[in-house]
Amino acid sequence: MVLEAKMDRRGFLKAAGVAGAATLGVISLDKPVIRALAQGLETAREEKWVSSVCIQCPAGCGTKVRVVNGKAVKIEGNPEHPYSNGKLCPKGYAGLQLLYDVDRVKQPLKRTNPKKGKDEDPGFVPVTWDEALDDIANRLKTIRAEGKSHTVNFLSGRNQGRAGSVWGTFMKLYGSPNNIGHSSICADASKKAKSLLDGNDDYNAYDWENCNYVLNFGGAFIEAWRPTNLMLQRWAHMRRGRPVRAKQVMVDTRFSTTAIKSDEWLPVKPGTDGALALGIAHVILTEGLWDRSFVGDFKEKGRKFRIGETVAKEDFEEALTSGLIDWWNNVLINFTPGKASLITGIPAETIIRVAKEFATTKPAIAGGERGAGAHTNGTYNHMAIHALNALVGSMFTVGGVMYQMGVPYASLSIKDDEYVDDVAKNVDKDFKEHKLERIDMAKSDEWPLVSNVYQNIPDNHAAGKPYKLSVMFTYYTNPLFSNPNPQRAWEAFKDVFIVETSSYLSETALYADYILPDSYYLERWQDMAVYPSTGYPVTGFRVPAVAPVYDTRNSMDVIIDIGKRMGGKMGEYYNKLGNHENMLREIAKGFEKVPGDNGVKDFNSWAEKGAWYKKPYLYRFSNGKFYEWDGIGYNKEMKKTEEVKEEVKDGKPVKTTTVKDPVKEKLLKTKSGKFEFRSSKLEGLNDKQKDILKSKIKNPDLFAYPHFEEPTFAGMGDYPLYLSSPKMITHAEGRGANAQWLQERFGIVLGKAWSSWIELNPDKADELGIKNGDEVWVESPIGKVKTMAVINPGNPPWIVVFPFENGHWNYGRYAKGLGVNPNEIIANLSDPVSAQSCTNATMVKVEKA
Amino acid sequence: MVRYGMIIDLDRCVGCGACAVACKAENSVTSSTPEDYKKRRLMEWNRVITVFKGKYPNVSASIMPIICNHCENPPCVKVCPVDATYKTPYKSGEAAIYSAGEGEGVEGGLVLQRYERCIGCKYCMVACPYQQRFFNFYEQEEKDYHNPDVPRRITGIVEKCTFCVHRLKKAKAEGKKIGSPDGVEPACTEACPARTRTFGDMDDPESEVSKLLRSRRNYQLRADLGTNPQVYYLD
Repeated sequence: MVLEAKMDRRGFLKAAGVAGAATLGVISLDKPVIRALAQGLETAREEKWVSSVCIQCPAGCGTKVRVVNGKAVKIEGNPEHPYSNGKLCPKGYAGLQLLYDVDRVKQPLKRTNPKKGKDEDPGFVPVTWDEALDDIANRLKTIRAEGKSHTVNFLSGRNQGRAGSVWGTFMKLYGSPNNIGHSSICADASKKAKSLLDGNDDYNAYDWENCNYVLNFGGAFIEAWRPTNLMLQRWAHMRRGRPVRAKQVMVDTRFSTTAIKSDEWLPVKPGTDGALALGIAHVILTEGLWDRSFVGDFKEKGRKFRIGETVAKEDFEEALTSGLIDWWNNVLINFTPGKASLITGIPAETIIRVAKEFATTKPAIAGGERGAGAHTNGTYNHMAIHALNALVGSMFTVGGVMYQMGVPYASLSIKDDEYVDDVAKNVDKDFKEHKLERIDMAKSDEWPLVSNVYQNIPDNHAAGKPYKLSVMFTYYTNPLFSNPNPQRAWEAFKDVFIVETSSYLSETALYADYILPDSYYLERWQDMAVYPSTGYPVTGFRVPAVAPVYDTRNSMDVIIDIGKRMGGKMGEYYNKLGNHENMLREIAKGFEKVPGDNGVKDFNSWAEKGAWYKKPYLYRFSNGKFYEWDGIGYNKEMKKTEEVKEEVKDGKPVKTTTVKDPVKEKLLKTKSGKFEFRSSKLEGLNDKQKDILKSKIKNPDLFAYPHFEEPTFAGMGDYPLYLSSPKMITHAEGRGANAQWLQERFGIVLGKAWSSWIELNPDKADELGIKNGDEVWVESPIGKVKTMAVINPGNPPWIVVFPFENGHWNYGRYAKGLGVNPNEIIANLSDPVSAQSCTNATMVKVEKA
Repeated sequence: MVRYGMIIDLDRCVGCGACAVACKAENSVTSSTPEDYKKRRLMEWNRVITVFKGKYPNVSASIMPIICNHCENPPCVKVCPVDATYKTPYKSGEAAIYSAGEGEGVEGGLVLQRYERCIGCKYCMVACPYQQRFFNFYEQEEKDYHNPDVPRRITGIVEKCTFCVHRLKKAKAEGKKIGSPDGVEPACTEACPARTRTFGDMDDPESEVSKLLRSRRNYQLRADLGTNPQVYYLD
């Protein structure tokens, strides 16, 4: 392209432009365009890159934050962190907008309006930290003196790093069993299912890099399955980064981004994922395609399972599994692809083909999360799904599934157990003896296996059963928004004294009696052991990138500060503990013994690099045996050993033999030390617990097996369409509605933004007289909301997809009044085994507004 | 001769939008509000679209990131009445009037904007067949997190993707390599978790971009229009 030097208009302007720059510079020096001209006249700049960890989801991706003259101007993936590898998902970058949100709570606030409600003005007035903390400590002391310390509840969401133990210790020393997490409104069904089969109460870690076939039940692989950033990287690697391209099969109720990019999409009817998995298991057994090195074999070689034929237990010798024959005889025997097809809507030929592919394309992984889990049969669905991993021999193998190893932190030098006074000891004793229950009834006979039942707290408190709460601390959680049917909490929590830590005006913050605003993650120290994925341990480190923009404090230090004011042994403990940074310095000492692969060996090197990690995952199952890493290879066979101890007791020589089974201890942590298709954990429940569980399911005789439980839906019969409420990749756990960069491109696939919406199949929309963009009412047995309808050509006609994010009462100018919250029409149902909140189990109807 | 180009591998793209957000963050592109969005004033130097074919049960979709194509034959440059939009030369040192500051000394055929000349007539926006030029309807607010390396743009002018020319300029000044896989890249390329993009000198046969172009079926957007983009897509 040549610039012609003619004296035409263009040429004149060109010449003028060069000369004009100088004159323009004189006229006005503060117009931004002039800065473009004056690019060379920069003042001295102080620039640094600080290690941190993103907080927009539980993944824990390490970041590096670019700080110029004390301002954070860019967040990028930390190349040193094995979950980031220099990359981030879109949410990571938006941290800047959340840090500098001008609508943040800028100092501690106290409520002056005693009335609470959606339309009540809290009448917040600023207070000093000391005023607030003294008042709160006094209140807590009074409650304790009255013998009611158990009525204080600590409710948390995005606990990361030491946060969980800081709250846990506080509740332990104070004397309350109510240190309650939110995992029941997350994906507990999948964790509990695994714990019932292989004894590990956790999400799986996955060797995606070496996997060749993925059978994914409702896990939005490239949207919200955590750790999303790493999942995106692994996906691309599995498709294009290696010689062998992995096949991706997506089992999902909607045409999601993952379904779009997968090789095959199996559009199951909602809640029927378990039936599909069982049909596949049936085929694997009848075709003789199970992995004999893990599962074992018939004594008669070449024999296969046959439909309708029971098998005698002695005819089959199991290797690392147990209960297979019982499972076949009771569940799988007639669970044919035809039967699975009737339930799921997937053609039988497809089920047969996929089953054969899955079993013969090794290594293969069967996985999934909330899609299959957030149903009244969620745990049983996930048991059927996870059982597939055992059947095809993917447990702890290359390209298979495993569990995340813990980080070798050093323990704190000060032991909280030594500061538990009599009050707290008695509360703990009463709790363990079931004389005292938690407010959510977790660990009671109704919920013996669960971690928490977050969604039931409003009902339990309202009914005073087991008791009424007095004080509730909330940390990174918003029960008045994130609960299904949050209207229950709007009513129930009107009489609870709420101490909120959010630095944003969430719904719960608007109900708070005190807001003790937390510093944003970029303003504080914190450790962050990652969400399960790599198997080998990784932990990131947050170094304060900027000084707090407002008068906020790290909530962990705030809790420690309250603790110091409590007096007694509790006060002693916290005064000795000092502050949160001390805790991090102590736990980092663990790295001196176990330095990370990148040389991180102490607090300072951890802060500098931003991540400690140690490869490889230590265990592997291959050629029928379990091996441990010995520094060179997976060479050390994990064998059972017998330890014989000879001692003299009462003058007589006594010989005690203890069997040490490293596989049972570390990997298959069940009663039998095997992968159990018939769960001894479920069978080990006491009679009362079994009765309660059996009364809640439709196949009580099969309660210990992976089996198909017909799902229940609120409104079934009266409302025609299934409601699904997934998370978009731009959705930052209910804390991103005020991030413009995320809101303005919220729905990548449908291109919708700055709005909530429901997705409708085009034929269904035509039937209802609805066009793309129309306002519609979406109604369920719980209530109705008005939002925009969008056509998703791929969704089946029976589903309505309603992504979660908007509908806030406030949360800043960009979130306030924007859209509606799908939770307001989602019924509060819970899976009876895991207490998983069944957010995919509500029926709705849609009408043009 | 240096000819900077980008390859976008649609098989790798996972439709996450990290490229779009990283670009906004890196280039301090004004964020929108719901009102802006309704008026179609969203500024997306880098956007991700999805195109559906058919409907359930016979449905498929394609996810596609779109940026300025830095055309070899740019219609926007042709129509600009004030010579605000221009193409940097392929050869370093070749005579050209760069925007003072922005793009100075960077060769490679980048299509850039002289913000101080733009009169906001939007002729270039009409001419661009990819709709990747954006008008600043609103005065850009001063944000604490703005990148000090990029110029602030005022209301009333047009802006667009610069292939992160500020990064390339800095790399040249510091003697650093430019181009994938281990040189300086634009923010979108660096950000993509799926490693969808590759950036580099297409005139260098040994560059990653050149090798990739030779190895797989590729195409340009609206090649029929004769714009000859320097951005290529892999199936």
